[in-house]
Amino acid sequence: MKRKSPLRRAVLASLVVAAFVGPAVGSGCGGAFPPVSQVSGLRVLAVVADKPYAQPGDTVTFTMTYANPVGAAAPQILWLGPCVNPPGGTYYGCYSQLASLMPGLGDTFSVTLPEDFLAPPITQGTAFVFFAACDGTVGALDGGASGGLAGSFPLGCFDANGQQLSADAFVPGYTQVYGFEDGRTNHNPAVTGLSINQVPTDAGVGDGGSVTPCPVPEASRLGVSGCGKADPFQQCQDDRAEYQITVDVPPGVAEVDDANKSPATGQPQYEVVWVDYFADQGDIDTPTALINAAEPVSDAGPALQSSFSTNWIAPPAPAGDAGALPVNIWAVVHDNRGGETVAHEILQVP
Amino acid sequence: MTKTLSTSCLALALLASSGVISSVAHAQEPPEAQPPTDNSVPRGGAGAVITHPDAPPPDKPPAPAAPTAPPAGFTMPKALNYAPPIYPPEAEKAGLEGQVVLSLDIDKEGHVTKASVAEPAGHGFDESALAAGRALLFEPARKADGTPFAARIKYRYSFTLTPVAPAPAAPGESAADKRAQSAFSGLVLVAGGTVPIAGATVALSPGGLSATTELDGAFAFKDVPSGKYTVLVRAPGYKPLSVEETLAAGEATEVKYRLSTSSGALEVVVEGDRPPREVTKRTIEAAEIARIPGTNGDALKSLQSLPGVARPPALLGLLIVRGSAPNDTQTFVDGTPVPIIYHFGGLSSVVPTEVLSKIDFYPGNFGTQYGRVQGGIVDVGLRDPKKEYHGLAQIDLIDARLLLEGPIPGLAGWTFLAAGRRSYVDAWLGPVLSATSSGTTEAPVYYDYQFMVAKKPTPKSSFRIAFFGSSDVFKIFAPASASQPELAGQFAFSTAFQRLQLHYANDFGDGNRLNVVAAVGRDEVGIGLGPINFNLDTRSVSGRAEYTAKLGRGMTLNAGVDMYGGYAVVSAQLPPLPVPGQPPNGPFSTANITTTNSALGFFQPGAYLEAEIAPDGNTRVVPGVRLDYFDANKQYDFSPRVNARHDLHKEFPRTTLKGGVGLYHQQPQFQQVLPPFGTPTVKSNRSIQYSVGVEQEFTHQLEASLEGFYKQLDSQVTAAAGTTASGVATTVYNNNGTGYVVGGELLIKYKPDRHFFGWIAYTLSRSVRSDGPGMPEYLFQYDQPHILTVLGSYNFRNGWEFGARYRIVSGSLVTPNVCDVTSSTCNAARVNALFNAASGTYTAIPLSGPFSERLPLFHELDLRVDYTWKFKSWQLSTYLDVQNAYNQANVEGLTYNFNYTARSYVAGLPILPSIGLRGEF
Repeated sequence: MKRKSPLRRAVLASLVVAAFVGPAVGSGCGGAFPPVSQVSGLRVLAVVADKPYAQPGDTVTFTMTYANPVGAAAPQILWLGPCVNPPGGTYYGCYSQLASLMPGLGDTFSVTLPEDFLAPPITQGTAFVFFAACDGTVGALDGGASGGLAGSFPLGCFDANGQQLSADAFVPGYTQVYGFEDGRTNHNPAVTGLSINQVPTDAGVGDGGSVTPCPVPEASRLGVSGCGKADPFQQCQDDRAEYQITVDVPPGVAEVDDANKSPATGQPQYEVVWVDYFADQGDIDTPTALINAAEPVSDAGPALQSSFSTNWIAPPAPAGDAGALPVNIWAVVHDNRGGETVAHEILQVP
Repeated sequence: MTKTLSTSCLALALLASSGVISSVAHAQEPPEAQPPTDNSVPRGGAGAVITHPDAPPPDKPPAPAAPTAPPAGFTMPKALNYAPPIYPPEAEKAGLEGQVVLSLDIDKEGHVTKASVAEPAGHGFDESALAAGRALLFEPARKADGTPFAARIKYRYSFTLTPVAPAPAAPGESAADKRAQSAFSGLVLVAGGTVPIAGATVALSPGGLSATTELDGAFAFKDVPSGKYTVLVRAPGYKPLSVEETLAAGEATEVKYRLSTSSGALEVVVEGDRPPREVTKRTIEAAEIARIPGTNGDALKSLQSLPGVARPPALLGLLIVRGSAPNDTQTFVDGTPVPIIYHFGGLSSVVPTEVLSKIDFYPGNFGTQYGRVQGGIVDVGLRDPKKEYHGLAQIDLIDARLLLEGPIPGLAGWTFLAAGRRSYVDAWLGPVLSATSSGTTEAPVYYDYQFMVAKKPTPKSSFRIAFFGSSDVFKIFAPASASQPELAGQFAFSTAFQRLQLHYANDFGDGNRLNVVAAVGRDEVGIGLGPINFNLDTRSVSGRAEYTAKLGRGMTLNAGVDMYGGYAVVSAQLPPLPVPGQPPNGPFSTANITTTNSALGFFQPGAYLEAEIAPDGNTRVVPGVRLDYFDANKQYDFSPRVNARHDLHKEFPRTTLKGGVGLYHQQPQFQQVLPPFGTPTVKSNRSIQYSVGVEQEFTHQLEASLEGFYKQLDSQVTAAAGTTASGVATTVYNNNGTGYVVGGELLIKYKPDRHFFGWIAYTLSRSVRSDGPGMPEYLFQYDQPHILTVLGSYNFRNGWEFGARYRIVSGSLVTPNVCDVTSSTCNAARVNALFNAASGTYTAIPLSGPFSERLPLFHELDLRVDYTWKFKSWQLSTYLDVQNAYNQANVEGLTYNFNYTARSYVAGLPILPSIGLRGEF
């Protein structure tokens, strides 16, 4: 790609901004934040329930997928649940009973839904489970003032000295499972793995292979759109340092959602399925891609999108004698009914 | 007696009849306050109606059928020289005669600044008369105190072919020689000076002899028998003079006769200023409109420099008036409501400056002729086409415009105007954006157009048909976001409106007037992104008819009706709300799109009655009532109002007190009242507005206005959580909202003179709302406590003009989700959002109440430089307009990272230069 002179670029950039800054902001040029796909610090990527739809008496097991910087100790993961059918059907309706919820620690947490989960007159139930991943110790907070109905989250993360840690070390959240009187079910989307440049990686998480580093320094990259900075996807494409990442799903990944019929036809439709990609090194150009839209059910099965891949470029080569740099790539596949599945691969940057 | 070419053409200077002197708003010179012609209180500069010089503003006092004597002490312009026109050769050859009446604008120095043909004669007479008229020099019109002021007069040139003198002078014999030998000779001059009157007739009786004065006013009779004669001197526009003269035998008699101007020679349309019916009516003069820096010569953008008008968020063309929401202010074009007044991005207004005759802005306490809003009123007037051909072309970095107007060939008395403007920034911005690796590839496109034909059926009536409209389209390529994978592709937003308007006005005399405007229109709004789109198509009919009757001395009644009605069609393709079993903040864009089509009719009539009571020459009280009906909720709104003005000191320097109180209603929005989303029983928003102020003249150029206002809000429509009959959660609307707006406005203005104009405007205000009884008060979204604007423009009179505007405004209010880390009260460890694992998104936890944080102070300097080349029949101007000259990064909003652990300011427009070129004939 032909490099433009700094002066011409500055003049053109001034004209752009001078003429219309709004779309530039909307396109991502306004802020300088790392993209959602870039994993740094403590991140919770997914909380998978083995039964997104459950019935009273069912035991539902939640598994958390998280990421922490290399070398960091495993975080403390606290669970609280289930909060069944809170007032208003909102998560903050559970705040008053948090202290009475069953706690749990570790990557997984199991709850048994009570028999009154769908007791009449309730025909549709919601059970919330709260979690908190903390690089210290989870503790209670005073509610404090807040400007909305949600109030303030009553838990925080504290270090050994009792000092509250910042948000980079504490990820609270919630998930939920649904129950219906008619016993409908929902399974997590089926995922078989990841492909790199259309080549499936080895089964399971492990050595997904070595990749070519992109020499553009991290400091020179700003998200995907250049916004005046170097666009590594253009510069590294010729260096073969750009890779197509695709989550592998079977053709029938989208289940029939016959409970929510198409408003247009009144017929059952497939559930919506999409994928979020993450990486703890390098850059991803499309963090989210649609796999299946809400189309009417047909004999041919769900018509998946022609492409739900993303492109990823490797980081620069590790300096000195650091050895190969492991890179984690995740793909979290969601359906619009609370189901999700995680695919994970580790690549090596020599 | 044969007519020959040897007789020079006769030009008769005809000054405007004694009586009322018309005042003119000139592009460079402002009109002055008019001498009072009735019992009304003069308004002075702050309230003067003003505008384009050729368009008589509406609601003006009637032209007198028989002009009355001028007020005591006022003097009319007096010609200091005489510039004889050239008799057109072709007309001479053809033996044609004619009369041309010119309209001359005379400035305070006595120069003719503009000459136009009021009554043409064709055949080259018009051009000859114009050339001669422009060379005239006058003693300017003066007030009683000697202050000169600009005026407009009628001036007639008569081109006649007169008989040759029976006895041509002997070769080498001069006129002076002839006089010396004549028994009777002399000069005919204008009374009070030494200006000769050419073409005057001097007749001797008995005997039937007559002579006509030469260009120098001289006449001569040769070989007149001695005796007693009655000399009758006549000249058009002058009172005849009859003098008894006795001519002695063998003696030469020389005389000088002076003629006084006569009344009733030519009707002059008085363009005085009508006294205001409102407490505050801010007007921007034609001389100022095109020169205010930072507005790129856009008249309506200059509204934002007036007190009481808050600064809108960047790139949003909103009008925020006295702490009210933008939709609380209504904009009209000649009494016809229009949906928007600014194009996308606020870059320019939908009606270009060149077709405006006036802008009336009422920040509050407006009269009963307006209703249905509780904020402010902007009523712009379109001017009538000029009677002579005129055109202009202008191009700058953003758009290009054309205008052409003049008489319609073949249709006597009819004139036309056609104007259009289109932005072309999209033509060059796309490639520039691509070159700078921006994700955007498009730019806004807008255009507006105005067509009209007009005629004055009688000197006191006018009729106009106008078709005008505007269109804005904006498209941007939006990449898929992490939370909405289907919301990708082209985002398009468009809005357009058209109006076909009929306007009729008639002045019946004696203070009785009728003003009628009716329009049909169409409004379109469209939004689309990916599979989602929304379209609103509204067809409307609107109208207003007002009759003004003068009931007696100091008492005038205004009665009027207006209406706004039509039907709207809504077409939407939207995803449904999440259903049970679906996480609430999932990617709604992926859901199955539903198509909705609906239509609704609406009808909003209104009627008002208002009295203008002037018990003496110093006081004016205007009480009135208005009744509105809204068919959506079957609601009647009764709104009594009263405004008053009193001159503590009527003569210069004038001091005026003003005040008003009134009840104002604003009907709920359609979606708030119409099923299935609205609540049919919700009533109109209501406010009681109070204002009091003083206007003070300091010098003839400097004046100030100080005003305090208070708006008490109640019955405000608010939304609350509720449930339907079947128990489904929904939104319910009620009238539990309250609030208030309190503040003061100061305007110190230096009115335009030959070199300079400018003003300082400061507004201090507070706007507060509450969602219900016992609910806490909070600052309204558009609250801006301090707004200071200082602007000025200096004309060097050598073609160069320089202007600057500086603004300091309180920052806008935002609803923060993350605290400012630089603040001592900020807890950086606060949990600002929760991760909703079911949908993979973060749910923000608001830091504090809605609009609870104020962004940093806004300040900006705008500069403008103009240079004009004036040629014989046209002029060329170029300008450089620079907004945000020192490139201040003013904060317009907040943006957050994906998990709300950090925030960043979003800066507004950086330095924005615009270069333009304009040619005009």
